[in-house]
Amino acid sequence: MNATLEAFKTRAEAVSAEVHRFTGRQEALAFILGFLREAGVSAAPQCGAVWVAGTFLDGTVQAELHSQVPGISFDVTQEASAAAKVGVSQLDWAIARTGTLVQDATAVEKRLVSSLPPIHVALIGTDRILEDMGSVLQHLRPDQFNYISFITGPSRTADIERVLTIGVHGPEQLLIVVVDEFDRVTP
Amino acid sequence: MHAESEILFRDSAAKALLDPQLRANFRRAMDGLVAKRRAQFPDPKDLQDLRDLSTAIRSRSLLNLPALLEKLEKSCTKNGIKVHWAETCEQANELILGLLQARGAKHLVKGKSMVSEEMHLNAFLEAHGIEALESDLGEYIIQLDGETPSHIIMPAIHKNKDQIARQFSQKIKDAKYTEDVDELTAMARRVLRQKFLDADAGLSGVNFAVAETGTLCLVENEGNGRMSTHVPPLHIAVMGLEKVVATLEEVAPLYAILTRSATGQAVSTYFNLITGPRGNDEKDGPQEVHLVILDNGRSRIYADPQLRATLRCIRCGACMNHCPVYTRVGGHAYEAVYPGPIGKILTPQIEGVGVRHDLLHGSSLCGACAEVCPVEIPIPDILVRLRREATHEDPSSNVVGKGTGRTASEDRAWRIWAGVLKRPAIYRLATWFATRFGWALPASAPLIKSWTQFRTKPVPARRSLSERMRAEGGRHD
Repeated sequence: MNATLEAFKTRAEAVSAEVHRFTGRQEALAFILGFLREAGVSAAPQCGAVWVAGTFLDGTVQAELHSQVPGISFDVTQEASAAAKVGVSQLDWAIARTGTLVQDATAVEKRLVSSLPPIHVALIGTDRILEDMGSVLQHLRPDQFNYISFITGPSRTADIERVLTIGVHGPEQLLIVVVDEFDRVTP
Repeated sequence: MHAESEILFRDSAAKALLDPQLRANFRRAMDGLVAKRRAQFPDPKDLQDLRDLSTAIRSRSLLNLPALLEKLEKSCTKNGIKVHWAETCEQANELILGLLQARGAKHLVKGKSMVSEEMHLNAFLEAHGIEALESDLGEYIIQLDGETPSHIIMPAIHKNKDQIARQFSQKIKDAKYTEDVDELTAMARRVLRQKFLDADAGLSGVNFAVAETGTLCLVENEGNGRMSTHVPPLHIAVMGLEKVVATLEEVAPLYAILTRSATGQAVSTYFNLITGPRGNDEKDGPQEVHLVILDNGRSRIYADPQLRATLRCIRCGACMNHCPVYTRVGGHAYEAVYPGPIGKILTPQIEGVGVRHDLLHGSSLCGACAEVCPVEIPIPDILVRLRREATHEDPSSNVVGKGTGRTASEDRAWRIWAGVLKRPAIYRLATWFATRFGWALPASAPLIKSWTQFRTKPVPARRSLSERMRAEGGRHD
């Protein structure tokens, strides 16, 4: 494992995120589908998963995923996100020094799936993990993007007696899936 | 005029000191925050470098404040964020009410914003039939009881979990009594989640506004700030006019020192850079973003080169956490929106140094606040300056209420003092009496009592120094 990824993993886990790393896309996809099944995602009400499709799904037939885990929806609305158990989205960059995920979240569905469901699954390419905030901001200029989100761990508060509580408004579980061959279509 | 309207910190502080529960709640919380901050800055040199950089950035922003604000307006307008200016809190409230009424909005959900506290926006909107609901957990807790924040970062820190448990079980529908913090949080989440989905508008504060790009930066942990800015169709952001910085590069160090100083976190859970409303092809999210920029006395503070440092503040709360006074009396004793050391210099400058004269003296000038301040605001120096402003009407100063902190009795006392010191014969006579009979003065004598209430009565030496010099052969060389 390279040093940047190692540092990212350590920092992200220190703020209660889970980090899983895979070499290939198919492995990662199998893991995610397994996770969704285990989390109880199904076609029943309040049990759905909302997925904002990105380059990660290029070459994958969405209907096929749906048939494997009924309950996955790629039509992300506020209602669907509010009722879903899991939100899945692709992140653009990550910061090793702080364990932070960064996203051009101009498209509001990207924000909805990472704030309304109790579980957020974040997909990121290994080569997208950079050293610090400055390096990320060189790629993501706010003059080009209306809404940039930095996410470090699941939602938290310490407003009652400074007791750390996870999952106050946003997700209580953040699962980060790091994939080496993120954009490569495996034949 | 001053006697009737002055707000007496010494009275409310004395009352707070008698509440052991309150003192225990603050002591525990502040000790924790101090330790967490310290752990974030293991190397004193790194800390000092970051402080120097942050101070320089904030000072430079203030130096160019008018130009930066104009640029911010231009950039925001270009991005589709509508900018509104408010000189007073009343104007800002009316502005926001107007925005909400024009869209028929009845339910506003709020992320944390101290400026909205400064405006007393919630009460104003409620009076006009609009629900303004706080969604930050701490703010929500105090809103249920109609209280104000006792700390700028941890608004409900004066309460312990038993108090919150009782409060929730009485005020939240179908809530059962529990002292489990996770369950209490889940209860608040359930109530607030529905409110988010039903809200017609969201309001947030602004931690930094970037002039160059027209970007509003929002720092938070809970996720309520994000939700306030993307679930409802209308987003209104409010900020004090000092929050502007020139470039995004300047935000990174300020953000790094803000979260470390405030809660001892390397970064906050969420950091959002908002540069515009949703695009035309989006189906959800705010169609409109409005930015209300509030003055409320800030441009007057800006005009004074020394007092301007007050506006460097990035609202981290470290000065409170480290203040020996705040830690013991808590935030409510200050009877001000901004408590603690920063509040002690900010509140009198906004409300008047006369009515807040007592607050200016509620400090031992120990300097702990200046030592931890991430942007090196010389709070004790400013306190001393404002103490003088309160009793002297300096024609060149523009401090509100200058000279109104003077009282006739204090004036008289100083006149008598000066009269004695200027006349050697009277001075010698007074010294003779004090050295011979000073011991006999009862500790409960009117003027002496204010000193002896908390301290032992000093007993004057039997002979004065000049008497001893004469008797023992000292010489004036």
